[in-house]
Amino acid sequence: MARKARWLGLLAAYRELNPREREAVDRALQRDPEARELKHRFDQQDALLASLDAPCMDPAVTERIMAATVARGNSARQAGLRPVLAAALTLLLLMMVGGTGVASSGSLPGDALYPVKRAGEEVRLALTLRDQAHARYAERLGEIRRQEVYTLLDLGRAGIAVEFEGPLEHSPTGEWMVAGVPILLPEEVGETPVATGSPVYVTGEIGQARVRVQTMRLLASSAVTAPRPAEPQSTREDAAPVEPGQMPGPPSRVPASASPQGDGRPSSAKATSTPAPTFTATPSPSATADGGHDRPKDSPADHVQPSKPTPPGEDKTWPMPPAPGPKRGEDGDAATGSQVPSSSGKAPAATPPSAAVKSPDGHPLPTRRPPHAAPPSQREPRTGPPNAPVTVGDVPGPPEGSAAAGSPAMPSSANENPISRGRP
Amino acid sequence: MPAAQPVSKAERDALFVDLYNEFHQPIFGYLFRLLRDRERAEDAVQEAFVKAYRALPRLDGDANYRAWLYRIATNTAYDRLRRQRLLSWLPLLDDGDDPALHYDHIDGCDTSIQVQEALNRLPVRYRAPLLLYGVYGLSTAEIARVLGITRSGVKMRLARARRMFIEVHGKGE
Repeated sequence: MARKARWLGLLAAYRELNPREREAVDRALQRDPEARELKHRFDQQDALLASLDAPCMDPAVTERIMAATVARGNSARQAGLRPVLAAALTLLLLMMVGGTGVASSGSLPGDALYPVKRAGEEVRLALTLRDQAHARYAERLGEIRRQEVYTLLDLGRAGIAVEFEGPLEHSPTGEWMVAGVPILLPEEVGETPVATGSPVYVTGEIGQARVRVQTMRLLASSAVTAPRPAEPQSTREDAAPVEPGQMPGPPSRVPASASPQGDGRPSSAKATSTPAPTFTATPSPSATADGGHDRPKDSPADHVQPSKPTPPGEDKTWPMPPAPGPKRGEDGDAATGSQVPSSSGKAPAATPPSAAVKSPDGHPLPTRRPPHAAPPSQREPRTGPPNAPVTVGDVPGPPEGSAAAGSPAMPSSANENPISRGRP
Repeated sequence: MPAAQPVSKAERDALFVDLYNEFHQPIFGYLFRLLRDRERAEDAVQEAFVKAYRALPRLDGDANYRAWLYRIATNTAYDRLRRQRLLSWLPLLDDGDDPALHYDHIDGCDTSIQVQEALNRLPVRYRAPLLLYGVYGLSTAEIARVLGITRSGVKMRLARARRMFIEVHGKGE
C-alpha cells in the first residue's frame, strides 16, 4: 500500500524527477501496464490543464485594481498607524493629567497649580459618597488647608489669600489663633463674642507671621475639625506649646486630644482645656451646662460682652457679666461650643469658674482674662450689622507685641455680631 | 523577478508594480478557478495584492515571490470560501452558485468548460494543488510553501487530485 502511494506520488510529479529517477521509473513502468496506463492518463491530464486558457482580466479592471490596491495599501498602512498614534496620544494625555495632578499635590495657595489641586479635591470629595468617608475626607481637607497656612507662614509669603477653619484659641502671649494659626483681627472689628474653642471659618491673607483676617464665620461645632495630634507642629516661635498648669493659656495649637470625645470636635471640655481666661472672659450665651461657662442665668442672651485680652502678667479673674444661660447649638448639642448669641437662648445651669475651667490633665485652672484683655466695663460696643461676616478690606499689619497688638477685636453684642453661623 | 530586498518606499513600490504586472493575470485565473466567480475573483485579487503591498516591507530579499503571492491568494480565497460557506446557511443569501454559468463570462480566452467543470467538482483542497501544479507550473516545493504543508503531502494530494480529476473528467466525457 505504501509502495503504491509512493509510486502514485512519483507519477503525479513526474516532471520534477531527475534523469536518474526518471530512468528508474521508466524501467518500472515497462513492467507494470497498469501504472503505464496511469502515467498515460496523467500526461493527458497535464496537457489538458496546460492548454487551459487563463481567464483574462479586463485592462480597465486591471488598472482600477492596481490603483485601488496602492491606495488601500497606503491607507491601510496609515490606518495601521492610527491606533498606535491614538494610543500614544492617550498615554501622553494621561501622563500629562497624572503629572499635573501629582505636581499640584504639593502646591500652595498662590501657586499656578493650586486651582488644579483644589479642583481635584472637590471632585474627589463629590465622588466620595459614603457619609463616613465623606466626613473623613472633609476632615482631611480641613487639615490640608491648615497645613497650607502653616507652610505659607513659614515661608513668609505675605499677601496670599487663604481660608481655613478651626477652633478659636488664645495664646498665652495674647495672640488670637485659629487651630494654632496666629491671626490678626482688624481693629475695627471690635471684640469677639466668640469663646475660645468655638469653631470658626476664616478667610484672610498671609501677613507677617500672622493671618490677617478678612472674614470669620462661626461654624457649627461639628463642621470644624480640630488639628490632629500627629500633625507636625509649627516651627514658629510664637506657637510654642505651653504647659497647661503653668500658664494662663493653653498651647498655641490645641490638638484634638484636648477633646474628651476624642473626635476632634470642639466641645465644652475642649474649651475647658483652652485658655481659661479667654473662655471665661467670653460670656457667650452658648456656654454649656457641663461646666463650660459660668454665666448668670439672667443675663440677656443677645448681650454678649466681648472679651479683651489682658496684658501678660496681669493675673486677673474675669468678672462675668450677668447673662442668660447658654444657647444650645442648633443641632441641640450643648457641648458644641457654639457661641452665637441668641435672643431665645435659655440659661443653662451655671458652673462656677473654678469648676468650669480645667487643664487637660484635670487640674482646675483659674479663670483668667486674656493677658491684654480689658474689663468689660472698659470695652466699647461695636456697631455693625447683625450676623454679618466680618469683612475687612485692608487689614493693618501685625502689631508689635501681643499686648499692643490692638487686641483682637470682635463685636460686643449679638446684634452686632459679625460672626455668622454656618459655613460659607 | 527582483531578488534584492528593496529598502526605500519607492523601491518597494517599483517592486510591487513589477510583481503586479507579472502575476496579476495568473493570480486572477487561479482565484477565478477557486472561487468560480469573476467579480469575486477580481475582489479577491485586489484584496490579495493589498495584503501583499502591506506585507512587502517585511518580506525577505531572497523570498520566492511567486510562491509568496500564491500563498496570499490561496489564503484569501479560502477566507472568502469560508465566509461564503457561512452565508450559504442563509437561504435568502444563497446565490445558487452554478459554476457552469460563469464560464462563458471569460472573454477573449478559449477555455474548456468540461475541464473547468471537472476541476470545479474537486474539493478545493485538491483543486488548489492541481491547479498550481498543472496550470500554473509551480513545483511541489513551491506548492508546499503555498499550502503550508510538506512536499510529500503535496505529492499525496496531487496524486489524489489527479485520480479524482480522471474520474470526474472521464464521467464527463
